[in-house]
Amino acid sequence: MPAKKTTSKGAAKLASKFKFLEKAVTADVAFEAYGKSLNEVFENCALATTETMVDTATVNQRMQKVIKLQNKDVNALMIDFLNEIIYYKDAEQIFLSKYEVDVKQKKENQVWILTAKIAGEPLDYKRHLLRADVKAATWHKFELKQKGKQWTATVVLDI
Amino acid sequence: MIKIPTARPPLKRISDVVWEISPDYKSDKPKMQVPARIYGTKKLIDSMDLMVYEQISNVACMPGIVKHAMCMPDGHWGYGFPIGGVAAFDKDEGIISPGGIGYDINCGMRLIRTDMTIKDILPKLKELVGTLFKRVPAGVGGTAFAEKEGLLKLTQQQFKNVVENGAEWTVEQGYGWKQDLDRIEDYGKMKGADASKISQKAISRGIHQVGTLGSGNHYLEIQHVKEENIYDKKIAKKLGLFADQAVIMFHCGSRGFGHQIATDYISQFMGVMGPKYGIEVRDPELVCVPFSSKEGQDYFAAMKCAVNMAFANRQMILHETRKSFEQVFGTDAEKLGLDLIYDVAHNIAKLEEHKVDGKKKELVVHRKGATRSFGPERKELAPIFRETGQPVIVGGSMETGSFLCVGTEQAEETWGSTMHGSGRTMSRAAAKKKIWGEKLQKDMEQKGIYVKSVSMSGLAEEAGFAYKDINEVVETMDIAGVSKKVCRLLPVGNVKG
Repeated sequence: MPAKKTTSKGAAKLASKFKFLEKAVTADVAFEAYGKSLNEVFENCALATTETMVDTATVNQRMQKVIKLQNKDVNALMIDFLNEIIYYKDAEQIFLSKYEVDVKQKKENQVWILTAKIAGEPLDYKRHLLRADVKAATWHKFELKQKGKQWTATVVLDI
Repeated sequence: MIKIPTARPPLKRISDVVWEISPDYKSDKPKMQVPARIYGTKKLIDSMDLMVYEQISNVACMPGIVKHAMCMPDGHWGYGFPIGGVAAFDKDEGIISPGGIGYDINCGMRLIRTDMTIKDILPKLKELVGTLFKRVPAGVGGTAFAEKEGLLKLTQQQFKNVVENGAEWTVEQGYGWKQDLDRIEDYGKMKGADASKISQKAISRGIHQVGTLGSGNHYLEIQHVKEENIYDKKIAKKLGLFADQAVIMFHCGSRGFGHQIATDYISQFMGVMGPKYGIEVRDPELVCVPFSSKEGQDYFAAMKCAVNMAFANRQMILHETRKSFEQVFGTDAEKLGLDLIYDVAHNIAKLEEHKVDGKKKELVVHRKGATRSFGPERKELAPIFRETGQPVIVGGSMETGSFLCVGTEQAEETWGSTMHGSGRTMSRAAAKKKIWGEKLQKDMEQKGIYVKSVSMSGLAEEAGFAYKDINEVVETMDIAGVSKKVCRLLPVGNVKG
């Protein structure tokens, strides 16, 4: 069956979640992701990372995974989370495409805890529209900031 | 975040192709310990990414750096070190830095000769490229070993053997010829690799990737040696090249495995660089530790695992390439003359002996997007290279072609290092906006280059207009006397991820 690509309606929806930056880097890929909450910006960073590797409109949600991570620094937590998604692509050949993220800071020790419920499926060359093989989320030009109610993150992915 | 410069720093002309930034440029702590030197013709220097000057002068501030921080003419912005960055550090007083090696540890190039002319290849070119596309997994999620008939899935123990023994292991298993090993940097195995220094995560990422091409700017190409493109007939003949010959080149590295090792150790180094070792750097991406420290030695041993995995990776791809030619032309690869010319790394750190102010010293040489370019006098080279010097394979864009050069004694001025490719000038996003992959594929076919790619958007990103002029880059190091041109290689068939 031919792969069903992202439609223009789908592309508009994605544009509200993140955009790829044209001038930020030369050899790799940079994106800016948005969210009305910290949870949402984490979800949209994850989605942007997967979109770099594959057109997520061609990826079904046939399996679920739960990822649990923690870090003293919320920025490092974001980098770790994106690298975990990349790890699953290599170690298990699965694409994770739908994300529900919960990020909380523990009051007693200030440690940030992330729990993510993710849906996706194993790589299928016949249906998945493949893009670039992402190898790592880097600290290069990394930013995670909040202005009023709006969260913005800038991430560079090593290709 | 480091500041983005708006102007070039003052440059002192050392020669037509060497330009120097004085240590006065950054005199506040941590200050420049040595000058920074950029290699390039005036044309390249005038259009050089401004961040190259910023980044290479930051490298000059690192502890234990010897003589100069250097950037090759294909330089552009990278993580910490610029791509094209070369720096050597004192073994006892200096550091080791993952940013000076790159995430894709032992990303490198291989060049293979054949006894065939391009006229022998062209009638079956599409079949050959199609067969290579099937036999050499490329692109996102490409896996090997597990998928192929007759090959067993690698066990954890086998993978540990691969990372400790590199191409030596692959040849022992029957994937290659014994004589291949003399024609690989470090004979295909960097000694001292220790699998106990790599994480289970790194193993999980790498175990299925031995024998895969990857994507991005990685590729496998059939190339044409045109008579007018042979610049040094004597050396070309000694290396097994002739007019109108068909040769094969590929570019790939240690895949997700090397990346995970880099990620793991960058994370570890960030926790100890300041608090434990009191080291300050101008850019967090220059995170480093003393080379002689436990963390430094552990990383070096882990880096060697990635180096060996990449040598084994390229050896497997050579094996599959030979099998593809056998399938298409119905003759043994030996009879077709498919001998390896050389295999080089261009993202690596090495402990090498060099002369510093007349005295022999062991230095930790970092080459990031820079290739070793040793002259015939160096003992590291196999005897077959005594008359020619070390072959240097320089990968160009898939439209403009690549070069074969050789190293020289003069290369000691750059610790035996030279460029690695043509260097990107345009972002991937901008290149994709300029052209569709499908159109580029058609345009290239009209120019006589047949391409098969796993990803069309990935193909567009690799268009020739996104890269520097490779002739200018190669000419720079030829004028400098560091690497001499042997021949130019033009693509006719290409496999991409």
